[in-house]
Amino acid sequence: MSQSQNNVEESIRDQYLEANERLSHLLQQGRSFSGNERNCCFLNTRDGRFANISAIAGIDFPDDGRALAMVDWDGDGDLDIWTSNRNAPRLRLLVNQSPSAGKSLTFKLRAISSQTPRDAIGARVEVFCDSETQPLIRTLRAGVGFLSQSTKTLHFGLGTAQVITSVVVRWPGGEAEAFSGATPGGRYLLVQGVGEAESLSQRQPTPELPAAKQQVAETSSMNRIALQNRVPMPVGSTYRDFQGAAQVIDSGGRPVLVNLWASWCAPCLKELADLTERREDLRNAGLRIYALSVDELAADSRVTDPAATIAKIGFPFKAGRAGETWPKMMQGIHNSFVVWRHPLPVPSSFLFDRHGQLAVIYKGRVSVDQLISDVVALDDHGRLDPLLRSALLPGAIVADPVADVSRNRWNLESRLNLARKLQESGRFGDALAHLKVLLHVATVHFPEWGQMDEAHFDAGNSFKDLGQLNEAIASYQSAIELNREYVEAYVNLGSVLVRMQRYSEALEPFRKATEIRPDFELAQQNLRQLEAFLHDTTP
Amino acid sequence: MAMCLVAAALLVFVAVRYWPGPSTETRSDPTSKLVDHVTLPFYATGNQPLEEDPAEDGWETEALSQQVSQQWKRMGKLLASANKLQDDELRLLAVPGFSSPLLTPSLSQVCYQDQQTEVRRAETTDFGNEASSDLRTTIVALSEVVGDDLRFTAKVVAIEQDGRRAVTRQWIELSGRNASTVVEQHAIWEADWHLDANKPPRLAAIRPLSWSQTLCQQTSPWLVDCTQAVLGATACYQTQFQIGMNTWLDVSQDTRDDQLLGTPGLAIADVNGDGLDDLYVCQEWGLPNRLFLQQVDGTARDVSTAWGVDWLDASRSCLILDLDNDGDQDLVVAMSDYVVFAANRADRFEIQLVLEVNDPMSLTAADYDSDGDLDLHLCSFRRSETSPGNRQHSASGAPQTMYFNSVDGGRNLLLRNDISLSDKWLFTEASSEAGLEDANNRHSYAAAWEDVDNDGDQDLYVANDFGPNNLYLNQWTESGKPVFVDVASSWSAEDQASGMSATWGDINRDGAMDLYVGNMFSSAGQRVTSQQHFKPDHPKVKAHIRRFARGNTLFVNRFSDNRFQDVSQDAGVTMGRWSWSSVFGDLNNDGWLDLLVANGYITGVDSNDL
Repeated sequence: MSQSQNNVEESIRDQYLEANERLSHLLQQGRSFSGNERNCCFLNTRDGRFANISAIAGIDFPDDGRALAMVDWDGDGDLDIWTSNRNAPRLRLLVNQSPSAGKSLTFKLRAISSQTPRDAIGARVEVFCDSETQPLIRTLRAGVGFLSQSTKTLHFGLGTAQVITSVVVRWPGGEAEAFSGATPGGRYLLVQGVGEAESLSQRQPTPELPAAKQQVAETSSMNRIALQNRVPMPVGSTYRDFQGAAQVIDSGGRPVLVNLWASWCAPCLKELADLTERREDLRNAGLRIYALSVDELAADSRVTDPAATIAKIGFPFKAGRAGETWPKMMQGIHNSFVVWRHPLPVPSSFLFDRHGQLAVIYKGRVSVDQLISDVVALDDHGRLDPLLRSALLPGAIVADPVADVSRNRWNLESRLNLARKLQESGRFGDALAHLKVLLHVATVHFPEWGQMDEAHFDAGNSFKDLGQLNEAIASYQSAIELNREYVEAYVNLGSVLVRMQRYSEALEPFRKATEIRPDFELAQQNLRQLEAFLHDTTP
Repeated sequence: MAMCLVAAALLVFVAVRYWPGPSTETRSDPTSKLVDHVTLPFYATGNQPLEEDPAEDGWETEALSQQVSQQWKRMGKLLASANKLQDDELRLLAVPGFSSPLLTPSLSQVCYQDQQTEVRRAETTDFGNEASSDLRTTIVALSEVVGDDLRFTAKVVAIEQDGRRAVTRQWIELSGRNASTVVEQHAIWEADWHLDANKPPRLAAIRPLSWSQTLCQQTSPWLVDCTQAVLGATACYQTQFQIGMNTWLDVSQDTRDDQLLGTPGLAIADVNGDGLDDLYVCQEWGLPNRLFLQQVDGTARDVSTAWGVDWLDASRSCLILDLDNDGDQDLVVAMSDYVVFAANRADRFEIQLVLEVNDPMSLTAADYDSDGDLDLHLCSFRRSETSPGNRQHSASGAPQTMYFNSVDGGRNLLLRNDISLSDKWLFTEASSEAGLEDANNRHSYAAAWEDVDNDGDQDLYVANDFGPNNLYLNQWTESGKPVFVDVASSWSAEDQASGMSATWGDINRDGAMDLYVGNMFSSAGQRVTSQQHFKPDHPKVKAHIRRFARGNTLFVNRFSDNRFQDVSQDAGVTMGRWSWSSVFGDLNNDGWLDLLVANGYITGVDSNDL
């Protein structure tokens, strides 16, 4: 390839990377990309071409369709379709009510030879009709299309054919075998070596399944996020009571629920009433509750009096005004581990364990029963698999050591991501706490973990930001020990040494970084300036 | 195709800070000019809003294209209310001298007919002698053909602007019904637009380039949604399956980027041996997979928990098949980092083996070595980023990938079934010894087995995103071992585009299996790449990139000549939109394979659509 061609390709690659980055941003915000597209159906017009009949077929749903599998689900002799989708409804059974142009013929296959898989996947069946010399052919497959497996019952539409003259099965790993006895409209089992089609007891067609438009749920009732890795309550978690005095959100060694509500929000009032009504149950569960009004954050300036609302409800727990800072901090925490960073709704509630660690976020109203069951389970956290403690619906985990390792490794990665987000928002101490936990877990359980060097590097950054420079140096050195080409670690090591005025020691890591990656601008720049500085200051 | 997946692989969130050095009063500060916060080329902060303004990308025509699309929407409204057209509305859409032939040709060929359905086609010349008409006549005539419930959409696929004139080409879809017939038309029109400052573009002429029409005397849809009748009584129907990924992502903590995609694979098989097919559905992280057993009345029972397969692990694809040749149906599920093999124990599945894998996509099975048991092929999309050496902040610097020829994808696995050789379940990775390591570094979404050359063994086609596909022919060595050779290039089956799925079927009934490959059809991509000033000096690159937006591919198998023939455009099947799964099946029992395509990438909160 010529040089100019390469340049073009490189420039395209850069444009492409940039485009991808922009796309990622759009998607993170929940924007569409080639969305609202509709499924397609093409009719074979028997001349090597197809007619687009998506509208006539009625499958032009904007589902973000993924898998497609075919099966005669209702047993009426034509192929129905199961689809799975990204959007809701996530499953569709599309029952075939097309104007049928003929009978069908179906076969199940069973192999008995030791040379042929019992399922006979890979077998090709040829059906000769009337006086045709060219057979209809179908192959038994396991897995076609994308993420899809259709039925193992082979389906042949017969059109105007009247007579089946021959059925031949080419068994994988075996010979071709002719079967007699098939007639149009029949269903048969073809057993290897038998030579005669065995009629399957005529399945009664399913009573007609009624068609109905599926009612998609606009929002999930599962608005609960149980954190995979708990996060400490931010330092300075305070609110103002209705007299205007600053108060600390204090767990006092007990679980705490902080509820954000507004007096103009009906679901909030219902929720406060529920909490009031079940006060004894909640107290017995040992829960402290703070109901903090966000009335003043509303865009419109309706005159509200949250204190009066609380008094009217007879709310028996602590209440006050949330102010602006605390909700913002919680939004930041939420955004650090949830995929889509949409603004939190009102009401939102936050359940902290007795160590002051955020355990559950409820977006929207939470039922008291759910709340109590979560409070009771708070101390199970460490005993549960990270997936079980954070799943969206009840279910099981794959119980196997390989899966355990993988889930725990993913948990490490997600803790690392969380630490980085905390770092980005300036919570260096909290970030470091997570990094220490994960480095400990990784060192003990996953010494080969591929991101260990990154974790050390991030720990170095946190130490550095906290001013603990010796610890930072040790962390960068650990990162470098694991990854001898970790240029960023060299650069930051050098930078910290500069900060400690250990100038000559800083030269080597900068040099190392430029050797490893000569085009690393930052390392070059630092090295040049440090050299100039040393030159100027050296007598 | 999922661009963001690769994007995710390339974006590395590493913050590198340089801290200001010494600041002693007595000597000059060498570091004062150093920046405090430096970002790598691929650093992203994640939160700033990004408004996409096509005009800012140097493609002013994209802004014009949006205006043109708006005008087609206006046309759609006028078509739907053709009995009360107002002159001022018509003036907003077309200039006074507008001309067009009647858009339903009087000459056309019947190319398909059965008792209820008729397909006609026409080419440009069939419109040649039609009288020109004004916009009102054009709209009224078209709407009379189509009838009620009229739906009209236009996808602009090419645009050229010259001063106050522009010419666009668009794919037209039009459907509607009357008392006894449903009508569906697909056409390609070229249109001339008159451009005035501060006014939307106005139509000056329409020239039909191709046209097809299907009439069906059955006025109800061919395929009707009966999901609720089948699943409605299960508890999970409402709480799980009526909720889309967009809602789950609001509460999901799986921040791995491919979670955005949604990957609910499914498999159909008779799990309990009662003669009725059942359904297993994969679900994403934190949502349980589901096993639905079909009952004699066609409804389904959720037995996921009882059968021990309500796994919450992030799942992608599954197969149900007899792996140990004991006569029942076993289960394989590919999850985000491992594959689970479970044996059928009549009333539950029991895990036999879990293998660690890397970013799995589609699973397929065949007995490639003809030893009487089923082997598995697993596509892998991304290469693992977390294994040392694969990350972007190492010495290698920028990742080595090219949009149309990327070679940094995951490694697909051929898993040989060795259960019969062992006292426990055993699958041995055999990609290398079987010759599948050749070009095994692409972003593979799907594979499909078929006997391509009718020699009795199992060949394999692999559909890759961002590059050429693989066609591996199974060729036996003299020592009796199967060896695959990638002949995609010499057989003209590379289909260098954004492969998402592959399906085989003998569409022309000549005894050779033909191939359909799901790709993406992007009108925006076609608009930009078709323009004269898109990479004018680099025709090869231009052709590569254009190809990516063309859409799906139909290959007719000419194996006696060792090649495939790309007939996609003539066959009329490129427009599968942003495709995922595609599958052949004879929907109307006429003996000819029809085709279904699932599509749509990510529908978000807005209605933005390329």
